[in-house]
Amino acid sequence: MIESARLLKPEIILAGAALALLALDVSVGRGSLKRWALAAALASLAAALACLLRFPDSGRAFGMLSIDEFSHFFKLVSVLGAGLVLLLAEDDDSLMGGSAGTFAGLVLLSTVGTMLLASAEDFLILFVALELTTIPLFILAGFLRRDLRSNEGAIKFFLMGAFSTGLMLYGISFLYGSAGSTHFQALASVWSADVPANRTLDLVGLFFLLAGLGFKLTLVPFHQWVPDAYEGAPTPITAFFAVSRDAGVIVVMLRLFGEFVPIGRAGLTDLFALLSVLTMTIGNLTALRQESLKRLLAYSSIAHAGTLFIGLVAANPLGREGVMVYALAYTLMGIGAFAVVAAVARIKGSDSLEAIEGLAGEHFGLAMLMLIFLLSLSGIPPFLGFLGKFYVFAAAIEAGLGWLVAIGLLNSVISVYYYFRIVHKMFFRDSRILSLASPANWSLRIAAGASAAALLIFGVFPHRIASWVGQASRALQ
Amino acid sequence: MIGLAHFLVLGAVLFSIGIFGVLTRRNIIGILMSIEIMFNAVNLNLVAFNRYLYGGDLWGQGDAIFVITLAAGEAVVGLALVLAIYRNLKTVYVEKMDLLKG
Repeated sequence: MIESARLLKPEIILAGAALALLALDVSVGRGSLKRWALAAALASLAAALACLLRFPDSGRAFGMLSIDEFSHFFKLVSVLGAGLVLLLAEDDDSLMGGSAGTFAGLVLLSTVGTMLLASAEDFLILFVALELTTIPLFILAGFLRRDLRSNEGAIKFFLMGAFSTGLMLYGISFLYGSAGSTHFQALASVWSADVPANRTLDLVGLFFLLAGLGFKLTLVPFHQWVPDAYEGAPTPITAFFAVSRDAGVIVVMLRLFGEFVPIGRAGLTDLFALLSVLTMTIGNLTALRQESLKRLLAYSSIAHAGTLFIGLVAANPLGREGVMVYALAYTLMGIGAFAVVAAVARIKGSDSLEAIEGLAGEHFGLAMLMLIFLLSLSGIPPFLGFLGKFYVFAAAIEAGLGWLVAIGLLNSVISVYYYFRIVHKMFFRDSRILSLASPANWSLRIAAGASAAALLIFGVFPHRIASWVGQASRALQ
Repeated sequence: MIGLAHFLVLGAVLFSIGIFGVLTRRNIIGILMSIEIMFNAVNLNLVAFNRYLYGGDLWGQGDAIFVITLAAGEAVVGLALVLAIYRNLKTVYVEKMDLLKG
């Protein structure tokens, strides 16, 4: 018990800080609230980060959570993502104003959920952690209570989220029925048994489980909520959405299908490859004709989920490493791109594509940052986004899925078109919308600048991160 | 004699009713209730499996308690969102929520 608690130190720190922050709103005067909330939240994130880096414990907590270097990596990514998002929101009075404690507390709670997901080895924890991640996100998506778009995005997100949880749970109930336990290990013995057992219950269970997780992973037949939720949510929260997917849900799937239920033996390779192709293609093709920056980036995020999924389809160590690099890269470049969108929306009062026209003439620094994020998103070297794509494609080739790589490359080409449409508007068009406010504040500049610098440094010197993920992925098996 | 199969069939029927409701209801409250029916189908399955196949332990029943608890938490957030949208839009019908599209 004590030992388990010691292993979960970072999560406990963050959860404690989150609960304290939720209580802060009622106990501290309004004037100083924002400063306190931001400082406390960042301090707790720093403490969790220090715990993860200085004391990388490994072991099993409560027999349901596997704490290892693999989960450490994704926990670092989610802590990093939460920190960046809090910095983005710093100057936004509708988020960090009168209820700054609630806002920061909910971001931290969602982060704890994502971190637990990265360790989950049991369907019960998977369910609880997933709810802990998404329920705060429902509230955060609808945080602008008087804004109809925020309301609408949040309610659609909520309905799809709760529905998908129902599907997932129905699947879990069958997996429990077949194995008598909710631990992933029980499922592994069903598939490894030499005697051809009756797997009807397990297949039904896996089908519903996948449908439920597909919603959270924004895979294509289950992606309709994504653009609405992304567009309606306050922009810093939009940036936060993808973190739980890239550092949480995909990790559970890597664990489940890498360590316990081999994709090939369960006959799922073709289905997974098809999902990946659909997700990439439909995400990219729909992004082509978007006129809202947030919506365009939402569809591009769906396309990236498809590419990320290739790492899981490949089902080899290289694919795992690919998902790790890709998750880190997308967290940095996704949050960075939404940071610039948030700044543009503040300056111009709009998040349409028109608003970004002529950005280079007015705010050259912001335009250059956006250029870096877009280059990285389209997978052009020397940025980290390229390295992520390179890894997952290499893994797919190693697994003999050359056709999947071909489709992935074709999709990259399509994505270059709409990313460069933004670049073209920034650099070669004149602004047609009058600027309203002063440009971005210090914290947003720090967050976006640090993300861009990290993308460039890790992209130019890949050996450091390559050896890191190589070592971490060996923790799995 | 009532056996496991009866409970599983009832669970499947409840679950189907829930899915049907989610897909066809236009009132958000109706959709929320349909989702709750889906959760209850899950609970029935868990408890029935526990009782008939794994009578020696209580895992399935414990899991059902977790599902009930979290479903309640989820419903609270959902109803709060419904309240927020009702204050702005004066309706709880989903077809009126068409601001975001494309």
